[in-house]
Amino acid sequence: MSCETRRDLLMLYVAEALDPAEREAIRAHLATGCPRCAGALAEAEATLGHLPLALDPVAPRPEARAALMRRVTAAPRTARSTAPASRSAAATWAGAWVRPALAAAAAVLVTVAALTIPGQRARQALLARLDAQDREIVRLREAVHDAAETVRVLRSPAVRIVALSGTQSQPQATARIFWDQSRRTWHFYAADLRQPGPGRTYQLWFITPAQEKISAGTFDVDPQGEAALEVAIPPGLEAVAVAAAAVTDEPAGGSPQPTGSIHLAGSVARPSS
Amino acid sequence: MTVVQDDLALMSAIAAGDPSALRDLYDRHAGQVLALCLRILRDRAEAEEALGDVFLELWEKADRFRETRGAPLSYLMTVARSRAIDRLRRRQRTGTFVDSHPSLETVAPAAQAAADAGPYLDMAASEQKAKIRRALAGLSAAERRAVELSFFDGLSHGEIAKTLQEPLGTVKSRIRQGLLRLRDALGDEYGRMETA
Repeated sequence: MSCETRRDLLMLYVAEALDPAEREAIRAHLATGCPRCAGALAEAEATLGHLPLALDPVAPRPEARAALMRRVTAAPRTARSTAPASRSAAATWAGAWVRPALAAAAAVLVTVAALTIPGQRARQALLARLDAQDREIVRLREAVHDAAETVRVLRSPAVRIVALSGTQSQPQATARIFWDQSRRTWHFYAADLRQPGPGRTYQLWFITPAQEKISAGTFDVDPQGEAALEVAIPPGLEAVAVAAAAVTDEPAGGSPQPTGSIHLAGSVARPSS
Repeated sequence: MTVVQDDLALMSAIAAGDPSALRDLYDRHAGQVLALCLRILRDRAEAEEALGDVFLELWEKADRFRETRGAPLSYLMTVARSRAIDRLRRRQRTGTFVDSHPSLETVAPAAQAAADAGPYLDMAASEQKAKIRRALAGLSAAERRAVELSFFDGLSHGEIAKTLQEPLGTVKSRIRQGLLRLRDALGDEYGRMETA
């Protein structure tokens, strides 16, 4: 199933209108941290969340507000953690991913301790398995870190989403920038991009209202046409001064100013103050 | 500052324990939340109870909002819908009489709402409302009815098929088509709201 197909199913997932099997398949895919589907999920939630605004508002009686405020005054409040909620989510993720690997490694160690296997070959085979388990744990830890960071970014209220569309040269291409205003970083994800060609690379640009182009870095595209880039917004460049973002193809290593064709572009809505 | 940014600031203050922020958020959106609760519950007194529950939950569990995506108003509406449907199901289990399912057009007549709306209705909200209504109007009558029964009444596909006396497959197809049409009509507005 493609992510484009999942985009349709995600709308039904949020509306709780999927069959159990479809629902579970979507839930499992979302758990992989797929940024494209996470964006589609946000789109579906926002669309359905606004649907009740079709109704005309009905003013509550003044007593209703007074009653609420009395309940608020009397309500116990749980202690607020200073750690972001997403950190606990990340910990949950880490637990879910790493624990089975650690358990598997521990099982191997127990096996080693319990068995008294004569012969060098058997011991070497077990040590080789332990090495493989260690490598797998390292790989899983890295995957958990990446996935947890993706989840943190997607769940943060300080993150805004900027969509980039493919231009005439690559109309099929799409990209999203998750703009983490609290950390002044852009998390850029692109899909369906063609390879840039021999000796060429893709380059992401910040564009100011005065049309000044500032490089945000170069990136490669994987065989599936996907790319990811994390960019710190350069010091001195106020976030509000970014008016647009674009991707061009440039000579390998990048260019100080764009010289190639534009493949992706999108405007950045200026926050009101 | 936009409505969304104002709401985000209020949500942060609520999370920090500022009751005046909760009161301000209530003044902004209580009318819209009550309209949704009334649409689902069709009982003014119970809808106002649900309204209070929603904002109390927001106060007690403001941290949860950080784990969601989207605008605070969208989150508020999601919580309100869920709580109202919980009450509706509880009422149905206890055998309390439930009125027939009214359509969006028959609940909260516009003239009365306009008179009641006061500070809850501003021009931006009117434009937003018009856009959502246009999107709903873009659905066929059968699709709209099926989506309403699913989204606003919390009915299962089987229950909708029984209510409308239509085959289950037809109902499923209409809900899918209707939701996807809404997504296509509104997705650019809300899913990509940061794109100019």
